[in-house]
Amino acid sequence: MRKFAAILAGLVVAAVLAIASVVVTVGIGIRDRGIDNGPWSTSLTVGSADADMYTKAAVAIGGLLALSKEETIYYTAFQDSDGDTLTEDCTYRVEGPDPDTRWWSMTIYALDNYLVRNDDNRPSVAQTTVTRTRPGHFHAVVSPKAQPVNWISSRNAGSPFSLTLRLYNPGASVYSAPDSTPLPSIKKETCK
Amino acid sequence: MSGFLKWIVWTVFAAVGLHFVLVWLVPYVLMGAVIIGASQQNGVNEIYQAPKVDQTSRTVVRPAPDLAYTTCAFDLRKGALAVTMPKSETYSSVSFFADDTVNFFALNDRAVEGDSQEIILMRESDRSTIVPPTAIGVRAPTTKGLVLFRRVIPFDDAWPAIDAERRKADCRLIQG
Repeated sequence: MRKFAAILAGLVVAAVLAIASVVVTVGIGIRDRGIDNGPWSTSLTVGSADADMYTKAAVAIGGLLALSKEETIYYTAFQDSDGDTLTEDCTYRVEGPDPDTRWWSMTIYALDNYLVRNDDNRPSVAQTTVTRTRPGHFHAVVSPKAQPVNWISSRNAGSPFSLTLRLYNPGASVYSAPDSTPLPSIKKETCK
Repeated sequence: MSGFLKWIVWTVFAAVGLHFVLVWLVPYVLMGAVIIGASQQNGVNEIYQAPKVDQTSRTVVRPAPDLAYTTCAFDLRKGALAVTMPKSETYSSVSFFADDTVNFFALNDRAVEGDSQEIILMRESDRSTIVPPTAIGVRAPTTKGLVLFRRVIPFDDAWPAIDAERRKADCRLIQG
């Protein structure tokens, strides 16, 4: 009886340790995809048969049905350009040249990896929807308060939220230098 | 070694083993749930036009609100699948996912000549299905999985036209 209790206790402790370690390691994999470019992070093995088991698990939880790099490259940011966590308490200006790609979009997600629950109908901007002040360049404002132009609503997004930049049919510069191809900066403007 | 020390060593070994099993299982479990969910919408080996993505969408994580999605949960035990990718003015693609999340094949609109491109999806062991000369033959690494069509919605007002165009996509079992 005593031996049985010891085995049972061991299994329970092992299960708790295993689950906790999976949450931590896969959670790190969701945020740190291996290749950093300013506040953005990406992995070139997403969707690939060559991806290791941790990448596959991270993709399954944080980006299921992601296309492989031959078709699309995904950059995600959980922090601004100063390294501070993205939070709905702040307003951010996201600005830069159009990424080197056929078509791009930038979308906000809450911590649960789904679109933010608000009825502002402003979850994203895209190459074909963004209002520009000059060709080949764009800006967007991520804020819980309505903005006149290129507003991405972070109302109810909580903290941290994330931004995903999708590049469909990326250009050569993205493949050759994913860590330095020009991507927009994320600058904190004001906070509550 | 004392009894308690042995207990700690075996518990740690068990935790490490369980850790790797759980990490390995995650993609299969989550992909399995998606395949089951997709097959419940319209059945297996049948096309399904997903609703426009909005803040209430909770089927798959990180949906893109600028894309129109169409799915087809496949089960190749009943035969090969003919998948039709229609042409598109905006970026569109058809992608094939195994049951462990691997994206084993994808085609985008730039590869479509004419009105559509047919793709014949077969099991690895299938030696009887004949691929027409104008079609592309693809062997799936797993028997079950998901076909996912994506089509860019360039502007909000474009949704009705995009919705109509995406309905030209098809997936159907090849009989015989």
